[in-house]
Amino acid sequence: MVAKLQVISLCRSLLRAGRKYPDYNIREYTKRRALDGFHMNKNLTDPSKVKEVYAEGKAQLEVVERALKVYLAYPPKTKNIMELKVQ
Amino acid sequence: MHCIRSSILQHLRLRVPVRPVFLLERENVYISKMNFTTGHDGGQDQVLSKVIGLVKNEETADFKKDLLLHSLDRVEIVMAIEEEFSVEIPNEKAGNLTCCTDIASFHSL
Repeated sequence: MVAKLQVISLCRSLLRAGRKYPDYNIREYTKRRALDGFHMNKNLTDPSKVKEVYAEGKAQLEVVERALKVYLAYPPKTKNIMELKVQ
Repeated sequence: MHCIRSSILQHLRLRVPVRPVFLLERENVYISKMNFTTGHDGGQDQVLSKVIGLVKNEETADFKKDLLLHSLDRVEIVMAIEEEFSVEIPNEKAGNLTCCTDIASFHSL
């Protein structure tokens, strides 16, 4: 049975992992997708379904962390325009 | 009630620097938009005033009861504040945050 605390902690881990990417687009995407995924499934009641989506989330977390290592090896050379300070 | 929540979340997600605007007048509680800026400028006073500026009259607007934000929204808000002020809020403490003043207390004074 997946506890609420575990769900929240998974969400935070996903958001934190997504933050480390050097690429602006990937950062924004992981944040958006993580939050959307949790919002979509927030009203589930069936415990087996909850367990299923929780496991899916955990798998995605592993993917994010693994891909991060690869992306860190090749950081982008220029800053993305969205990251520039508004004049 | 729901428009406060959606406005807060919408502003969190867009993260565009905006001047503070009064969102909603509700029983003498004025809530202004979070003034997100890119970059880490400002000392502790500015940081504190930014967070306090969130809720003008009442600093103890409870996330769940007054602003109708559930725990996922709270996660989002806490992460946004962590990013804005470059502080790390540990998991256990994050569960106990119920109002803006709690969050403000995390900034090194």
